[in-house]
Amino acid sequence: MKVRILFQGILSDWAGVSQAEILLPKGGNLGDLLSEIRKNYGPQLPPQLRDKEQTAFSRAFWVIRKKEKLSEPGTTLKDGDELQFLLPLAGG
Amino acid sequence: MKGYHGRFLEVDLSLRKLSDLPLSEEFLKHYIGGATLSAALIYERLDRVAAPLAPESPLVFSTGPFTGSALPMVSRYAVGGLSPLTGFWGEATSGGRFPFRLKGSGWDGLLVSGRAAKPVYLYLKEGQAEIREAAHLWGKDSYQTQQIIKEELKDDSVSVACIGSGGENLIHYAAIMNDKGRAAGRCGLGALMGSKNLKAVAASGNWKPELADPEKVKELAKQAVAQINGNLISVAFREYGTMMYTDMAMILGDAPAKYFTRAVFPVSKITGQALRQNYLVRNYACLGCPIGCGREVVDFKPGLNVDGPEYETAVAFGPLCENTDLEAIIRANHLCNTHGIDTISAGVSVAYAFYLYDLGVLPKDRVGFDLKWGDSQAVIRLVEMIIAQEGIGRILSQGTLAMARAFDRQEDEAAQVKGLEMPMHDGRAFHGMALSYATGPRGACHLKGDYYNVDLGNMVMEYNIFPSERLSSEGKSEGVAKYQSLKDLFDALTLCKFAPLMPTQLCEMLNAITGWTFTPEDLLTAGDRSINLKRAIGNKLGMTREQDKLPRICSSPLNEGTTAGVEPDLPTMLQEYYRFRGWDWATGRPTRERLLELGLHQVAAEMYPQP
Repeated sequence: MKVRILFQGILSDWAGVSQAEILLPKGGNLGDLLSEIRKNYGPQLPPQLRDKEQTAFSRAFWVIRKKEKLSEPGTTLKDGDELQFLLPLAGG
Repeated sequence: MKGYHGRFLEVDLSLRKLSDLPLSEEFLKHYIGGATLSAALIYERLDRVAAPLAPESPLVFSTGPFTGSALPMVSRYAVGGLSPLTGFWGEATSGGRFPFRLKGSGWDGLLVSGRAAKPVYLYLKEGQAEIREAAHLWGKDSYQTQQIIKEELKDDSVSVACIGSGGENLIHYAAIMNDKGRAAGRCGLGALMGSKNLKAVAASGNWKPELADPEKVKELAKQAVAQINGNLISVAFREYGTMMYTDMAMILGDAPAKYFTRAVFPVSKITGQALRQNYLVRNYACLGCPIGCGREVVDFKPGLNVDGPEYETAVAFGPLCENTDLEAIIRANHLCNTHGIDTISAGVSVAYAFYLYDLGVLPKDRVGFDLKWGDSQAVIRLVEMIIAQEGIGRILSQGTLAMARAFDRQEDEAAQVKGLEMPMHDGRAFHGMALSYATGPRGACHLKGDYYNVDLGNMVMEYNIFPSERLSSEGKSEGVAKYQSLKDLFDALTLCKFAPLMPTQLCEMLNAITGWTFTPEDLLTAGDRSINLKRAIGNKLGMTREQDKLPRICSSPLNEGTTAGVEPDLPTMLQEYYRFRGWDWATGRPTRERLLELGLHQVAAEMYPQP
């Protein structure tokens, strides 16, 4: 199945793309998606975002599907899902 | 006494008198420094003050125990006084080099009162102070003033805090500018300088008070620098400045648009990335800061470098006016910095003018031109009119509450709390911010505390402040109150709000500098004391619970974006907040018991005279 990811804000600069389609096995979950993202975009991201531990990697982002904030790696994704990735960094 | 000089310079401009104001260690331990120390000094003099801009109204510049030390992110100072914009307690802080120089001059701060017969400026250097003539500087903008003073003093290490025409013309939200475009922007304290004919304060020198444990301070500084550099937000600020948040803020519904009536607006042209892509940008840092969040736009016009806008400024002159023209935002920011006015209050006032025009309340012949949403040139023209006190600009220069009254509108339409314009973090997107705005010591303040950061995931475990659902009002009040107290302490110590340091670290630092034995609990008590002292100043000036509210324009549910249909439950949060703070629901005052617990005995005695 395919899910669309949108890197919002400075994340798009760091990842080098603002959006992409990721292929996942049917019934794939957020953890699977994060593994793919780490594989494809991990090297470009600041070291503070890279982590060997998948769960730690997911905590660095906010992942939003429509209005729902996803945080559990086991959350099942559906074909055609669109997920926004944000960095919860603010100030000023 | 360690970590302080133990004295302020007291300046009576009417009498042209300079004298030392000794501060005891006990007094400093109670009020720490910065804005809190300013509040303590002003409280003692409050009965003599008829109005914020009266000659007797005190104006305090204060450093803190951290200022001038090897610790990172501590080159900050606070200015305190009564705000001409709100009529209540006013404070503002700024960074740069000036704070180190002020402390290096041999005093912990300045207490200024009176009014000079002619324009003057103050020059402080290593235990020497003088009042100098400034007639030749009156009318000069803030950049010119800083440059001329540096040249005429022939002192390479001097740093200058000054006013532009904003302060000279007593604009209600005039700022104090230092180190080029750094601003102690909020509450109109630049107008206090103007009312005193005080054009500038120039400070120089490298006098450092003795530290209790210099080796420990060095060790803590090293650890803190490593921690700051390893923090993701430091990387983001260094690369993109505070505007890095603009687009994320819009996704979260945190960046208000169209004078707080919309939550969806295209902002891709006004982000930190856009600034970097379209302009040659240099970042700059306050003295001793490893981040460097400041932006300088190089060759904005041939040969002209200008300060890049901060997030607050970009949103106030951008989405809030439905404006996507980054160049116009940079120009508006530069105009505000050059002439010394607060970009938040100015931006919100300009947006309110667009709103009133849209409603047909503000006619074209009153403005002199059309005010169509998104017209970037109209934004700039209004800023120019505010600065020049020209036409409708004169009303805009008094802030949104005065505008609502001038146009016979409901005060709920003025985007302010207690007279201070709302910053660019929407309380509908982070309910903790709604409560913070309603109860903040200076009115609508995004810095005390920046609770959006808590609900974005930044916890303070030592104080049990944990993130919760940002769009919920439930169970927020205790966390908001504690976080306000903590962030109030940052302005006492003085420490940048972006420093990701925890209470235990702050205690270690304070103790190594002063030799005291503060615990995290002591520190929180000091923050609570500060908040209550500032509240007591407000109460003395007429503040009640009635003013602890948000205007409807900033709290009514919107019908779009991620905050659609959401309204903070302020009444419930406020009740819980009052209970936790120990404030009396009927009067809006801290209870006598609470004041006594916090050691505010004089305040308690005056607020609750005993038979």
